[in-house]
Amino acid sequence: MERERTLFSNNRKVSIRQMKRLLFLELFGISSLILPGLMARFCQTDGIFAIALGAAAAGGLIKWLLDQAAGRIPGAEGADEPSNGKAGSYGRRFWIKSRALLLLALFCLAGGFLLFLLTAVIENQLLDAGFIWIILVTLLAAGGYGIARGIECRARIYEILFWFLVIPLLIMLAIAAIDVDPDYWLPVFACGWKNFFLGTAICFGFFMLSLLSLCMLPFCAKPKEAGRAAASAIRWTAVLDIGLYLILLGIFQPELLMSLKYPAISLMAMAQIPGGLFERQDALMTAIWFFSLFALFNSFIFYGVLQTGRIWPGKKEKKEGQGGAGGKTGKIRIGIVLFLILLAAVACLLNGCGLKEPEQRLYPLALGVPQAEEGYDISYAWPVTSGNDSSTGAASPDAMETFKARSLFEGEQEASENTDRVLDFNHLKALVLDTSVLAKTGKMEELLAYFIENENMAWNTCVFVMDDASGIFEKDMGLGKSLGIYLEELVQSRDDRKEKAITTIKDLIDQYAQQQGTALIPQLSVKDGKPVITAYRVYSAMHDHGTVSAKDAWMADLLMGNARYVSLTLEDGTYITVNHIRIERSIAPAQDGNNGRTPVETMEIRGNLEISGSTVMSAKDRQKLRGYAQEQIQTMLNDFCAKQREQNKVDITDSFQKLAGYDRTLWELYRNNPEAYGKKLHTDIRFSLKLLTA
Amino acid sequence: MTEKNTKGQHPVVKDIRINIRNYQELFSDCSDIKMRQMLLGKEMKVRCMIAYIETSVGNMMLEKSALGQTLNRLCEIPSESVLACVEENSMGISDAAPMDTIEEAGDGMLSGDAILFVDGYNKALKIPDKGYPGKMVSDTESEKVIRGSNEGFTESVKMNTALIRKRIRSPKVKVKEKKVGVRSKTNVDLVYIEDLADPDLLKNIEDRLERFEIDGILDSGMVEQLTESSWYSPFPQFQTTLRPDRAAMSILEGRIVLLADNSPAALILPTDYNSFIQTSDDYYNRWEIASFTRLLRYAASFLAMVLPGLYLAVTNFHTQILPTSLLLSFASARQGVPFPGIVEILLMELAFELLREAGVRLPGAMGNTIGIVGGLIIGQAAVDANIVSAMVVIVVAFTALCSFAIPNEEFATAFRLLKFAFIFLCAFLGFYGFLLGLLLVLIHLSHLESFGIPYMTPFVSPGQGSKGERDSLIRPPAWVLNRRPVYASPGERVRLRRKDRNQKESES
Repeated sequence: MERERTLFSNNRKVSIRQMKRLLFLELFGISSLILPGLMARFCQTDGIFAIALGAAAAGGLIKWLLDQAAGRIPGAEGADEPSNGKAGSYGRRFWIKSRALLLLALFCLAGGFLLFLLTAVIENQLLDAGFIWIILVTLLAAGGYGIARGIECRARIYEILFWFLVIPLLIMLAIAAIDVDPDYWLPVFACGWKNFFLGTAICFGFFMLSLLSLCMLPFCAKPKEAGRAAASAIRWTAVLDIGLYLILLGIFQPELLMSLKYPAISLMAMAQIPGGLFERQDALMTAIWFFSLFALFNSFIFYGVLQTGRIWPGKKEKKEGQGGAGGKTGKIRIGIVLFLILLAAVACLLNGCGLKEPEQRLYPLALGVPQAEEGYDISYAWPVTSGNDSSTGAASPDAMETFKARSLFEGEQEASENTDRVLDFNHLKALVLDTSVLAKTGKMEELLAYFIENENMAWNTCVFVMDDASGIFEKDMGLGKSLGIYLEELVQSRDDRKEKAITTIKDLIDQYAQQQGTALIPQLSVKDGKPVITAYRVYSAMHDHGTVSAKDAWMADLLMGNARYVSLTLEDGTYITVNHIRIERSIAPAQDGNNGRTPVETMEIRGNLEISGSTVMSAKDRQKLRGYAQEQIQTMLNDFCAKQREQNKVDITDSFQKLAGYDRTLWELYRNNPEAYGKKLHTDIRFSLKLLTA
Repeated sequence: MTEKNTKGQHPVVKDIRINIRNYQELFSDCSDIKMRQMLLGKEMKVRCMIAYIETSVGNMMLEKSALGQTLNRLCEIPSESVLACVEENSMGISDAAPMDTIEEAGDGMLSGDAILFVDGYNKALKIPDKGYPGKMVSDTESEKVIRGSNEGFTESVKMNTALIRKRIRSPKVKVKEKKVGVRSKTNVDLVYIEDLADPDLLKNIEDRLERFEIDGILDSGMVEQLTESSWYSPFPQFQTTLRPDRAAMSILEGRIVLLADNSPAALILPTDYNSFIQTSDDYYNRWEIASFTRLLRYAASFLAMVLPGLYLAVTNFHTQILPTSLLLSFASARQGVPFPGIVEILLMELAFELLREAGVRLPGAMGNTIGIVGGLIIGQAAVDANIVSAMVVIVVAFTALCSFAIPNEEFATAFRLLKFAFIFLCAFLGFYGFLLGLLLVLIHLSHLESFGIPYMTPFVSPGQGSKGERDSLIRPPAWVLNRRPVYASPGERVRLRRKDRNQKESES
């Protein structure tokens, strides 16, 4: 077909805006997926400095290279790809072909890795293992179709997609940032120079991927501005990568971060959009990495095909100087490849369907791990969805099943086989562990490994313990709703506790990864035929440290920074509420008798006091009551803290987690020995109340 | 017959008998063509013949048409003055055109006018009358607006150009007429504003009209398909409109409007995705509500294509996206349905397409009945009979609503077709299929151009700066829309100036 005359658009030319956006997405896609894990491994909390330094070095170098190269482009404005047909001497032709061959090999290798990565992400996040060939073939086909449309088309795609990808990403990062604990960003400069430089070099390597813009230069409408555009793309990528890394660090901490396959995507599974529109949005957010990785993959193919044009130029290509992507010869080549790919894709599609309709799945909302002599007893409670009344759903009675298995994987498999349905754990609400299981660290580690490996498992599942966990999985308890939903609401309905006070599977995985941290796990018992929370088990560093009664749990919440407000009855019978709680803490070394350094933690807790029936009290009485309440609560908190340390052997304030941020010398002293730290720790709690005038 | 001239045509001669014989030979066996001979002048000495197509010319004696007035006048003056009167065109007929050959006169008659041969006069006079029968100006059937004119194009190209001129009364509005179709000789008019339209664009469309030879053009749709460059694309590369105000608005933006005789659909070129989403009353209403409805339409165009596919992807592959209670409702609703989700969706979508097709073909009153039968009876009965689940009916109905919200029917068709591709992709590959489909559609749309304008303008760089491209997702306030889009000639981009501001500046 006759090529349309150019009227408005600069065919085969890419604008600076297009170049910047394309490069940004190419860099961000791969760096955000892989860099956080690598940075956590090598640089831990210093990762942000490594990213910044790597990006600055790469940005400066790329800008210089592009500025140099732009000066050598003949007729910078509107110049076509430099004609390879004009290569003069034999030596020069040999040099051009050798260089093209080398680049072709490089692009093919890099493209192959990208294709593998893209396939792995899709397979992990969106499809099952049986789809691998379909993914490979369809991605290749899409890549072929993309390059057949030319460079301008590719640039336009990402010009359009840019905001559609960046805006949801920024929103999700903002939502995720709410859960960040800034203490996890500390200590800084602790990874050692060697690791830091290694991390910086890795970042530099990643950002040097923007060398691709050298290949794009001949297609650039304004080559002289390309250097600035590439540097800008690197700068923004680095800013976003640093932001992402800070959020990941603040949520997962380095130890867990390095064990996650794709931390950025895991983060998307954790972040909860307010309003409950979506249960989890990791599948939706995979779109960001799909499109950005595809951009880079497609670039590799495009520049690879260009090199083939230099190595074996057709007659028309020689004339037009377009390389392999344009011209009739190039199109025929791509057409034949596409046709073969299409045939293969159809063949794969015909035998690759592994989908399950919603009614062919079971949705366990509660998972129980009762006591077992050998292996595991695994109990499931899933809502019965056999009625045609679609309004029943979550309110329908539960079906309960218990299976004996050597591992949880086996239990899941057995459940699937026995019920002829697939178990879908995406909606799991509650994990109920038997107290005996919680007490065995080995079993807990096996259990948590299962949750890490099972991609579909919801990490925000609430965790409970029970003395006889099999009790609530024997038959439907007539709760009016599914057991899982009932248990989840039991902890979520508490408005005096912050959301982070709810112990989830993710908290246990954190402990598993770092072998530190403290969590309060609600202990259930059955009262009047319904499960209720009677106490909390203190679980720290993968060990059970005894219980805290439900009555005293407010103190644990307060000391752990998890209380939104506290309501209690004083010894004189006055009912008070403390809200607007602010906590300031510091940890400093003190000299002990043996000339050693004892860590002393000082916690200053402030709050506003509300007194029930205060309108009938005089100002003087209220002041008196404030002093009384202040003193009594301070004593209670100090006693509670000391009791936990002495009897339960637990640092209830979880101060070790935050030690690096408060005192670096102490942290260096105890970094490898938290137990010694716990033994020496002295906590001084000061409680002050501000009286609100009625 | 007389000898032919160099063009192979028969010249009109002074002897009317020869002219009559030639003309009768040319139109032999055409019973709809009337040739009436009569005598003119007070003394009835001058022979003449009037030829016309039955029904295209009114009853000359009764109607106050140009032809009737002419003949009355010629019958009243002395016979010796008739010839001079005709030659000098002193009858006051503004657009009576002399024709040199019999064939030209025949073409003139076939365009709906009357032809008058007068003895002793070596030309044939083409006198306009009421023309071919056709619909008068009426309200548009589609593209209706709440605020603004609902006047629609008719089937007469002349009437349609007049409707545009009525809105832009500028001598710079040019109408280039071409005959397309070897046998149909359909008038195709290109309407544009001389200094706004890009001359290259005009030349481009003229070249494309010359590029093919066809026996007949019966609608502008045939011209559209023969002149578009990406024939394989489901997306139209011309914008159609039945509204003269929309056409006038496009002309003011520097675009060209193509009108074909016998077609009420005008073609606007070049076009882009954004133009298809805009409606006339976007500019008549306040910008806030216009922006809101435009955003809705953008969302509707996307959902019309992907919603059924997304439903399948989410329910069959990615249940973690849905809130638990909603998911359990979905699962409950599907209990007892014998077909897999994809079959359910396809059944309902095909049923809906059938209903749409039946509704279009049936007369108006029955069309409404079809809506009730489809919506209430088939939908409800299918759910009751457990053929489909209630959720699928909701998804299909919502998708249909979305497709109806797209203002342009041809554009909506593309999404209707692509919807089926997405259904298959998502049913087999889940959300990956959805992303893959989206990627392919994006690649296609990014490559697509309409007369050199990228289809995704203004979301992609149009190549000549993008200052005029503010009118896209949001319809900005009227004062902000001071520049024409990229289609206009580069020197004529400003379309709105604040006079009061200039005045204040000069005063200060």
